[in-house]
Amino acid sequence: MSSLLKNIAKMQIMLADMEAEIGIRDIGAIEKSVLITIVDLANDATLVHTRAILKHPLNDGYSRPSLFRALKNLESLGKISKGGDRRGLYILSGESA
Amino acid sequence: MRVKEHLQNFLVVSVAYITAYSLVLGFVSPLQQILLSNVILEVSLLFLPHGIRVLSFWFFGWRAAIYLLPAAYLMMVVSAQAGISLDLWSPLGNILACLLGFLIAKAVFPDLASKRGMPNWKYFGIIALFSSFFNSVGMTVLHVHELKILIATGYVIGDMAGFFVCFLILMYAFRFARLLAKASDT
Repeated sequence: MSSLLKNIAKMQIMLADMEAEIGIRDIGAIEKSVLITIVDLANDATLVHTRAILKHPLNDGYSRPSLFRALKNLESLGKISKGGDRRGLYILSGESA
Repeated sequence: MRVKEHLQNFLVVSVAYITAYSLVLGFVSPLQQILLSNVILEVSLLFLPHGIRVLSFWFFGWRAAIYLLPAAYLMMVVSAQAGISLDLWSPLGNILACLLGFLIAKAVFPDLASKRGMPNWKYFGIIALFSSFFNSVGMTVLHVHELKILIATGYVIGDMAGFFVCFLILMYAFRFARLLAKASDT
């Protein structure tokens, strides 16, 4: 790889790191869909169950593994967190709430 | 390093510097004159080329001084045409101040220089701050002929704001490029 390409790659990694740290990292289409679903469902109850997220009409086009992966990504980005005593319950966290 | 590679680096740095400086001259400075007319013309409160200088020094080390110098002098001439006359020594002073800031940041914070073998963005911020400090002292002395804290602070604010906005522009440019690539794939 030429040194120019190497430098561009390094710069992209550094900028992605910066995006994540200042909280403006872009999230994928499935993550966006899941986050909107949780915002929608959170109007009725603070804690949102995974089952309700999977059944939501917005997520019809996505497979179960993709939706679970999106939930995991959103959790690692700090957009949502696990809540309640039972498993599979999520709550909006940080500025998403 | 081959001549071709030097030429390539020189072109990339020059184009980036001239683009950033043109944005300042054509957009930031006129807006600043309208909104903050009491700030002297030589001080830009959003000096985007500072981000380019910091990136150049990080990527190319001391060689960046040579890559940056022609573009810096060219923009000094363009600035004079736009009614902002800078001291003849100011382009050289800017670049030497950045080189000094880069070398000191590298010596003081060697651990921050690399995270998992990759550059850490905070390290760039430190280089920008150190460079801006020396730059502000030099430019204040050159343009006002004495060290005025308020004007020197203006230079630091302009450099740091410019550095941050320059990085934000790059961030969104890469994001846009990714979107375009994704759109052409589908």
